[in-house]
Formats: sequence, C-alpha cells, structure tokens
Amino acid sequence: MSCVAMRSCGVMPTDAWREERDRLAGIIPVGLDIVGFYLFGTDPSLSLSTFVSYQHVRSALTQPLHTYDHSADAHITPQKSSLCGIIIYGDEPPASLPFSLFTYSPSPPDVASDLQLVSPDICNATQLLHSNYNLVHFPFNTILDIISSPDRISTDLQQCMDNLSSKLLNPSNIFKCSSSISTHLPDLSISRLDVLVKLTNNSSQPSPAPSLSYSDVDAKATHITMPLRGHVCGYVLPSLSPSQVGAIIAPALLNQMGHMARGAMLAPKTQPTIYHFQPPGYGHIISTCYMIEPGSIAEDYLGKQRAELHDLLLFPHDRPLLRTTNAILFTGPAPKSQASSSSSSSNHLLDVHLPLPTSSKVDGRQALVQGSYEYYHYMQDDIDDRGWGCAYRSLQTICSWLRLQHYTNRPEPSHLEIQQLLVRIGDKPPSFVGSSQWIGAFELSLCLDTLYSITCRILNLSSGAELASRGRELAAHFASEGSPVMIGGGVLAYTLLGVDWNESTGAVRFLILDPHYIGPDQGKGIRDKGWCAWKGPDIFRKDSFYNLCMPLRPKMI
Amino acid sequence: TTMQQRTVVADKDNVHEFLRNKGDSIGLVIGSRTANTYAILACVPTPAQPGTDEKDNLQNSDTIDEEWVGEHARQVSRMMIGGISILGVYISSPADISEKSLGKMANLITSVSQNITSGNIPLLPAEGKQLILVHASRNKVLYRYMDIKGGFCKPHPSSDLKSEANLHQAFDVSSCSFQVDLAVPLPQAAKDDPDKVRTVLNKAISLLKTNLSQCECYTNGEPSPNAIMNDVPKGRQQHIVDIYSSSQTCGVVPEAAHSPAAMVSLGPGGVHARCALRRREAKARDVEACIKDDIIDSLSRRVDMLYEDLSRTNDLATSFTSTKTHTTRVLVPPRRVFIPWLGGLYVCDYVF
Repeated sequence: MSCVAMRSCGVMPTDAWREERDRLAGIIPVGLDIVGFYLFGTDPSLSLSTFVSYQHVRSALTQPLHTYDHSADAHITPQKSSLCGIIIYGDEPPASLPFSLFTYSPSPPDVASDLQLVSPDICNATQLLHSNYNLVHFPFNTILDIISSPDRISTDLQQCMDNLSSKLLNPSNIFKCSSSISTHLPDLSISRLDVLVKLTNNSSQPSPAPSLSYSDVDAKATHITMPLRGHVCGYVLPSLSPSQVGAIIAPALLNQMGHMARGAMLAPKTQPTIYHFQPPGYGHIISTCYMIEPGSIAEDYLGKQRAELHDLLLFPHDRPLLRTTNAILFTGPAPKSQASSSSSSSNHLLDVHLPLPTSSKVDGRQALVQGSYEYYHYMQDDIDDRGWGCAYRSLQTICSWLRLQHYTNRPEPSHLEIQQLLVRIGDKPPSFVGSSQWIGAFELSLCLDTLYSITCRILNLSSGAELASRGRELAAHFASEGSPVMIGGGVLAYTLLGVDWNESTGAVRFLILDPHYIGPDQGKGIRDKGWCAWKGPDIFRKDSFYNLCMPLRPKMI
Repeated sequence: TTMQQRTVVADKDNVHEFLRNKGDSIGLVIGSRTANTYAILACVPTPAQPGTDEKDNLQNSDTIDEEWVGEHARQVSRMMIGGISILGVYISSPADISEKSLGKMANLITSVSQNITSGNIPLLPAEGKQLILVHASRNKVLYRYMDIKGGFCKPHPSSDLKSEANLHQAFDVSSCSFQVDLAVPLPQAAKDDPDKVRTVLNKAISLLKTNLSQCECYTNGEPSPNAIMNDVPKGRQQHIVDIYSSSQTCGVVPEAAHSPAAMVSLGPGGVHARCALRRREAKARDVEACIKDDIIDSLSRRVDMLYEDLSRTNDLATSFTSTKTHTTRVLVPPRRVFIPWLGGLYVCDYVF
C-alpha cells in the first residue's frame, strides 16, 4: 500500500534497525504492518538471499510493527509466513515497483524457486482497507510530571510513559466508541475512542491507607511538568468492542507518548503536537509529531522536519503535503441535513470537472489538473464583469488552486486588487484601476509572481490552430506540474484543466472550464450545458493569437 | 440581609425525647443541611471538663465555657462523614438561661462556628454562616437561627422545633474508595521545614480537589447525574460510587518546582469516603459532590492529625529533614474507621 525508505540500506547494526522500526511505528497507524521490502542499489553483489540471511534484518521485518516488546531479541520467530521482496539494480528508483512473493522460513530462502506473482487483491489494498476496516482515533490528554536527574532520565521517562499508558488502558476503565467524521476522509467509517480512567477501587479487597513519605532528591535533578496532548490512529475491524480497540491501540499509544516526551525533553520550549495526514492518492493515514513553538508560525521552522519525512516516505519535494494546514481534522458526527456534495466555505464550486467520464475519446490518455480548485466565473461575488472579466476569473481559479494545495493561505484577489497590483508594479497606468480593461497571460504571470512568487511558463501561439499540435507539451505540463492553465486569446480567455492526448496520432481534446458562464453554481447544469466540458481543437480560432500562462509548482514542501 | 430560612426538623427520639429526659446539658446538634432543610439527627452532649460536674456548668450562663464547647466541636467535626455536619448547639436547662443571656449564646455559637472546619478547608461558605441554637426547658423544645457575619452573631426569634420519627431512616449512605497517589516536589526553600512542607502538601491537595471536580461519577454502575437517588440496590448496604477521569482532559498541570530538593508523596493508597443524604430528595449529582468533598476532607484531616501527633512527640522537626543516606522516610497518617451510628448511618474516627 505504501513504500517507506529506511534511512540506509544494507547492513545496519541491530540498534539502528530497532530505532528505524520505532520511528516507523510512530508514523504508521495501528492495523498496518510491514509486508515486504525493496532493495535498491548499484552494487552487483546485492542479492536477496544475502540480505535476508542477516538475522536482525529478518527479525526487524517479521516482528509486528506495533508491539510492546522492547527487549533485545536475537531469537527469530517468523511471525509472518510470507513477505514481498523485490530487488532493483540501477541508478534511479523506477516509477513503479512490481512485487513478487516469496515464502519465508527461518533458514535463508531459496529465492529462485519460491517466486510467485502477487495477486491483484494486494494492488487494491487501499480499497480493501477502506471498506473492511474502521478508522479509530483516540485523542488523549495527559500530564508528564517527572523528577529526574540527567543520568537516569531515559529510564525514568520510559517508566513514566509505561505508567501513564497502562493507567489509560487499564481493563477496568470504561471504553467508549462514538462516531466521528472528517471532511478530508468522506468515504471512511470513523469512530473516536474515549476512555474513562477509573480512580476508585471498590472491590472487596480494599487498598491500604495512604502513607506519607519524604525522600531526598538528587542535587542535579530537575522537575518537568507539561501537558501531553496526543492522538493515536488505527485501522480496526468493525466487529471489535471498544475495550478490544483499546488493547490494540496500546502499543501505538506508548510509542507516541514516548516520542512526545523525548521530543519535549530535547526541546523544552516547544510543545509536541500530533498531526495526521493522508495526501491525495496515498493509501493510508500517516501520523507525525511536530515540535511546535507556541506563538510562532509552524511552517517556517518545521521545514527540516518536513524534508526528513518527505525523504522517508518517498514523497516528491515539489509540493506541500505535510504542512500543518494539510492536516486531517476529525470532528463529531455531522448533522443529518449536511449536503453531501463537498464545497468549501465559499460559494464557489469545487472540482466541478470530477464527475465527467475519464475515458479517452481519442484513444489516448487524459492528463488532468492535480489537486482541487474552485470555479470562478462571470457575475460572482456581486461583481458584474460581463464582457471583460474572463481572464481575471481564470486567474482567480488558479489562485484558488494554489490555496487548496497549501502553497498559500491568502484568499483569492478581487478584480480591484488585481488591477491595483498591476498599477503598483508599474505594468499599467493609474487609470487602469476601476476600468473594464482586459488582461492577458503576461499580466497573469506578473500577478502570480508578485503575490505568490510563482514562476509561469508563457506559450505564445500565433494561431489557434497551433493548439492542436501542442498535445504533448500540455500533457507533460499536467503530468509534472498539474496546475490549471489560462488560455487567453485576442477574443476570449479560458481555463484549461486537462488534455486528452493520443501519443501516436497526435489527436488532442481539451478540458475547458469556461469563465464566461452566468448562472447558478450547480455542477450538473454547468457540465451538461458545456461550461465545463471536453472540447475539440475547433473551439480555438485560426485567425487569432493565443497566449498560455502555465504556472509552475514552486519547489517547496 | 437575612440569610435563607430553611425548614428545621429534628428526630423525635434522639432530639426531643433526649432533651426532655436530659436535664441540664449543653452540647452539639448534628444533622444534615440541604438547600431547603435542616434535619437534626441527634444531640451530642459536651463532656464535662475534667474536675467539674456537668450540672455545675449550667447554674448560670457564666459557667458555660464556650472554648471548651468549641474544642468539642473541633473534635466532633473530624468524626463526620459527608453530608452530615455540626448544625449548631443545644442547651437544655430548666432555668432557661438561654433566653436570659442571648449574648452568651451568641459567643457560644461563634466559638463553635470557628471550630467547624475540615483540615484547612472551611466547611461553610465564607460570606456568612448560619447555625442553629436548640434550647429546651420545661417540656418545650425551641430553636433559633443564629447568623454569623463578620465576627458578630445575630440571633433570630425562637420557633417550635418540629419533630419527625426515625428521621435517620430517611437517609442512605454512599461510599467509595478513592485511589490517591500524589508525588510533590519540594523546592529548596521548603526542605527541612515542616511548615513549608505542609503548605506544599495543602497546595497539592487543593489541586487534587480541582481535578476531582472535573471527574465523572458512576453511582451503582450508572452514570446519570440528574437521577433522584432511589433505594439502595438489593444485597448492598450502600450506594457504591465510582469516580472516573476522562482521557480527554488532563486536569490542571502542576507548576514545575525550581531545582527540587526533596519529594513528598502521599500514597499510593485508598481513601475511604462516605456520605449520607436523604433518599428521594438528593440527586446523584449531590452524592457526587458530597463524596468528593469527603475524600478531600479526609485526606486533609489525616495530614492534620499526623502533624499533631508528630508535634506532640516532638518528632515534627526531625521527620522532614534530609537523611544522610538518601533513604526514604515513611510516616504513617492515621487510617479511617467507620462506626455504625443511629442504625444505618456512620460516624468515623482516625486510628494510628
């Protein structure tokens, strides 16, 4: 379902493997586990059988990821009967990884004879996960209160975490599951675990009366108190009772508390805060613990932590996926009257193209905008821009895309703000403000650069007919950048959301989002009447020039 | 402004009959105070001072020793379970001295009110206290409200004291055993100083009180706080209260002590708490509040009594000093025992 890069491959000492696994256990939710591995390198002596012959490697891979067992354990019990393994030689990792299955036994396997192909079910793992399992989340609030001296701190901390964790998950507590939702995960069945920790013991064997003890403390000792606000996630079978869910969550809870406490000790002015993410297209939730400085803007100083995670999770470094604004939020159950169609708090339609059929009409492949955008068109926001505002609306659509990809928090600029900006940077005379003058691809690129430091590629075409031959370029743009494109001509401006392109014949069709639409914001009507639809190259006039503004993703995370 | 005037009722046998047969006597009245009612359960005579005869006390009001009665109140205070408290003073005297010397009565009441505390936590609201003066003479049993404010006591006019048979049977007892485990660091300034240690402990107990107030209670396994308390379930003698803290709230984060020099721990151990409330009047919410108060009171009293005991044996100073060998010094506060009282109710005592 996902691939994770271990920090270094090859022969790592046992402790390093264990650290890696602990780190991974903090990121991967309960219910998921390591099912295989890939080896990538340029060393020709790298072989599958040699790799798995190392005991500690096999031990690290076969023991369950979420377990209480921290003891050094050289004895290997194969917990899993099979692992997927693949070995790749080359200079660059391939775009996709074919998997093969081999059966694992305590002695080094005979790889050649045990290879089988993996069944397609494993490729649909995400669907299986979402339909057969519930996502459980457990927000908890506890206090770290510890007196310790520097030489004992890690033992004392571990002890403290063990105590807190076993207090939270004691079987005599009351466990409750209530339903929960997240706007980020609309299709998933989510529930929240709450625990009531029992503070009384009314059994027939009462505890002895409390005594008062007084003890000295090491001269070098310090006293640390801080709240620990954590949040554990896991995938569990729907049939489990709340207390069984509690038992499954237990190792993840201990792991997370440990991470938070250790992080807090190393950086005392910060507050460990848990965030959950599920980037688009990714198979499952990942959890991180960011050390937040209260009162400051997290995104600024968390760059290093994000970069490490991007490396670990094999995420590209050209798009924000793990910013605090990307985080998943869980809330209580939604009221029944809530409309199922997702729209943001504004009145602009989100991703109005999505219900359109995804099969190619030219026997090629569709390359579409990646990520969400909002549909801006004539007459919205009480502005009558009929006849002149189409490029402004296209720009607003692009700005909404930037905001929804978390490149910016800034709301989309109004027509007036766009005009004021162009005057301020000297591109237009002061009389431009308040006028109904058009803008083109060049002005768009100036605005995007000034507002967001975004670079754009400008494509100048002397005739609309040229667009029919630009299929490859546009497909490449959507594949690598995935940003909406503004097509402005002598006559009209459109927003381009994708192309349908046949590599061999060169035939191309365009997914056009038309900003000239005037009417209610209802997706079906807009699509049915062709305001957001696939069009052939004939919509572009041969006798007019066209300029394209193609925003490039800033290489930031 | 006058304070609220509640209905006052007293048990027929333990108050009215008792007073009729008692002759000259002075002592405390014990019972339950709710929003609308004072229910006086019993009279507890103040024992004669050593070397005196009880009767001598009441020839005239001058012989009443309000400090002695106050001390009696202080000791009886410690014997109360939740929901039951000292409601005031009674005086039974054929000479009817209470009528003739209201000023003396006022002093008596004031002295008693100053001694009704629990540990360092006053039991009654600070803005004004109201106690009852029950006075009996010549087959009449009367009572007055005595309002105390700013050190002055204002008596109200007398009224007849209503009686009710078997008043104590209208009460049910709830109990729980609360697990306490406090570990409190002592800053350098508090080290080797028992009084400062006491201040730190009081602060910790106060924090526990705040955190406890946010906890949920289940009574006999059910959570409903607004339910009226029905009869005790079959096979039990008391309602059983369980206290839970939510995983969503952590309570108040204690302040970090700057370079801690020592640590004092209270617990781990169980604090047994009980409270008695009038059946079918009290809600589960009221039981919850009473039990929580009783837990804190009991904890506080144990520390009080430990300190008193150590003072008496001159061990106080040495008990809270550093040991050269870094061992832990363990002191044992008294444990609580419950003594059946009035058929179904309890008083308690602390035993070393």
